[in-house]
Amino acid sequence: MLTRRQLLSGLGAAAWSLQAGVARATTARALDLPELLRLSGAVSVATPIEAQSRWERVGGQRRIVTYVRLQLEQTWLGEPEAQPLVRTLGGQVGDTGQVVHGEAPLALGQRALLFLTPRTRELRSVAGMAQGHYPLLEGPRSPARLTQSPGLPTLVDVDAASAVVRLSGQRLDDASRLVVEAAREAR
Amino acid sequence: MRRGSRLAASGLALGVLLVSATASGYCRTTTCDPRRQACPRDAQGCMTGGIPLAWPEACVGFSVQRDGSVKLGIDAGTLRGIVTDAFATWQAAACAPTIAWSPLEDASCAEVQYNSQAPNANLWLFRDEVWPYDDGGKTLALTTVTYNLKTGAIYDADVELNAAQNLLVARDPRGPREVDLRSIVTHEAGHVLGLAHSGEPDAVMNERYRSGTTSLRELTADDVSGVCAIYPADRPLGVCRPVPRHGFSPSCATEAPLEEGGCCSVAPGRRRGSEALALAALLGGALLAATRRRARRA
Repeated sequence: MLTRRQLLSGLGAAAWSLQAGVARATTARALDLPELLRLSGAVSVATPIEAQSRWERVGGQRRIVTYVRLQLEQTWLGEPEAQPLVRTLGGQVGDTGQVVHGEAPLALGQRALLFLTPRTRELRSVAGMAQGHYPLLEGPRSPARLTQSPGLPTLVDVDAASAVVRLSGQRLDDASRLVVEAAREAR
Repeated sequence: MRRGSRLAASGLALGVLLVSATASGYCRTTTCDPRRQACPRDAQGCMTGGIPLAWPEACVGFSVQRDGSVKLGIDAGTLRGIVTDAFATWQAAACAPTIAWSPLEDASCAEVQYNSQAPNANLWLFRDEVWPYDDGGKTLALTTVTYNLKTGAIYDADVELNAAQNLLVARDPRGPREVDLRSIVTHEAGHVLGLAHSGEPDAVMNERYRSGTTSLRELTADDVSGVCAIYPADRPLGVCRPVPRHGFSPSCATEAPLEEGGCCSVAPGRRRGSEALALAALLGGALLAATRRRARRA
């Protein structure tokens, strides 16, 4: 049986899914929540405050990358950091732009729940690319809810266990409970 | 019982998530980058800011990496044929899109790159050994499109296929573990052409694919509308010359690592002249913070 809270949570998530615009690109297998957590060193609510792009070699490839500075607000799992630096693929340098379909588009000023992978001691990336990015949609009278990343790839074999399905549309406190419980079960 | 209830709630969300896909159609990729500026979206979720991307030429050449996938037993000729078929599928749309694709010489280069002053290759390649991105190996294919910010003209597009962690098959798949290479290539070709997602549930550019199926091989009316919007019959065209920007090179061309007059772009409001310093400060700040943390711990 569904409890009233769980039903309302599910309905809220469902209604939110109707509103959330989603851009899909590239192709990736859907990550379930424990898989996403295994890729993550930290799970945080944060706001991108600054971004810088440059040409750089990544995995042997010469690409444009964008470094995004985050202002952390809450850390649910992992070690809290005030302003971690995250590297994302793609960006714009001079008159040249590069879009990497499937990467998390960390919009400046947009609060989001982020699953972060440590790359080096100083540098993070978004775990699972856009599957680890959940922008928060907040209205003046309604609590903030998680939405799917606009950069979400085309998902292969998505089902009810997929992280994007379990988290999208959830209120922050419900999402926090889901993440912490999943992390406990994953141990 | 609690787990079952949570699953039911999630299932409800999933159900509506999937139903919601019927509310919208194709979207185009644009020059708008949300890491630099606000990128508004319409009710369908399509980005409305920026300039929509398109290849300006009537004819574009592509190349496949000459090793194919040794691991999957798919040679370069097979991949070339599948990519050629995929572009032909898009080109066969009823409006006769004004773009044609031609296979060029197979490339020895196995790098995603765009050279602003040297030859290029619009490359399709398998990654057999290592998938070099932080996605848990879950990505099947990754498309990188390089474009001109001011015009939306696509300069170059490279597609990486993850053979390291996925069973991509060139024939019809024989079970749920197998992923139909033709479906994936047809979908990625849509991105190469300048399309983003589609909310139409059966579209090649839709957000879902079930492995073991061939569901993304054939265009739907929505896919056709998308490609016809980008490449209509009346767009101005030059001479058909299927050569990548600055010529074609089957080997990885090299040029100065930080070309085009500088290294960095910055968040809105910052002066360009301070860009290199700003990036150095950003990276230096991270280093300093880490050093201080280490010192505190010690």
